[in-house]
Amino acid sequence: MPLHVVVVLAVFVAAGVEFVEAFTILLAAQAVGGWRPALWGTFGALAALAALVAVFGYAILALFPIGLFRALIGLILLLFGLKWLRKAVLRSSGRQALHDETLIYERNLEHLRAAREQDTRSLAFATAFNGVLLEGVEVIFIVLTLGAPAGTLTSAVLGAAAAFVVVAVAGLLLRTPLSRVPENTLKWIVGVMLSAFGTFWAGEGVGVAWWDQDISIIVLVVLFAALSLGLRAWVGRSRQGAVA
Amino acid sequence: MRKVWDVVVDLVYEDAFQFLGPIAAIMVVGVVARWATGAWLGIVLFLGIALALCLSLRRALRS
Repeated sequence: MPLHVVVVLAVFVAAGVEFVEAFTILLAAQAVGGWRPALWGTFGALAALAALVAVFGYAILALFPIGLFRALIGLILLLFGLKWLRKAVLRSSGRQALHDETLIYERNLEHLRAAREQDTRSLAFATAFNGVLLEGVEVIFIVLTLGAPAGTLTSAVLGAAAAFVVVAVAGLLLRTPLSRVPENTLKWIVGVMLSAFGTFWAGEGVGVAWWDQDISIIVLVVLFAALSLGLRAWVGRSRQGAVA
Repeated sequence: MRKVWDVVVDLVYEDAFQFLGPIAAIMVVGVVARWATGAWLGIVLFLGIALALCLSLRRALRS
């Protein structure tokens, strides 16, 4: 098989994994705060990536502290994720009102509602920005490391572009079924996803050698989902005990 | 100055398990990773974060 084809396929698969992760985070961010802040976060990250490549070029491979970057963004996503997971557990167990906005409206505290919506938009922006920025840097690393040494940079860029198109189309098709999921369930899913991604990246950043690389994210998603369901049952029982 | 102090106290006392717990788990794993490697470090990290979430919820139940 010609070298160019091998590079296209290798970059397609490797960058495809990163694009799937970026799209998952984008969908999670839009579920929390809507498309507008999530897309602004995405475009902001893309602009930052373009600036990074324009300024550093190939030197980005040697200069960029990718470990520290992963740990930092992993930590930010983890804290966002745990915040949502905690809220979802308290809501679903009946400990906290299912829909805080309704409660706020009933109390006629419009300014609090507006502040809350602003918080949610900021959260969606920050989540999309951080996730897309980190995944984008990883795609740049993949393209440069697989494409540059063999002189097949064009093939590497083609592989990454093809992966982007395939994942973008799949992501847009997933948008409609996702919109039918109830709001609180969606927020629980967002909490689980962000916690899993955050733990994975933070761990990778501080030196954890994850089992089978990115496949571990799926294991972490299952673990966080199981943990939160267990905690929901525990919080629900504690509440019933307190009422009795 | 007092406001800054109140924010610090709130952060440490109210949100310690929610925010500082995961940070502490990451730092501990980061230190251990200097001498040891392997997937088990990931399990330790997950357990640390899970413990922080449990303690945070326990605190919410008591308040």
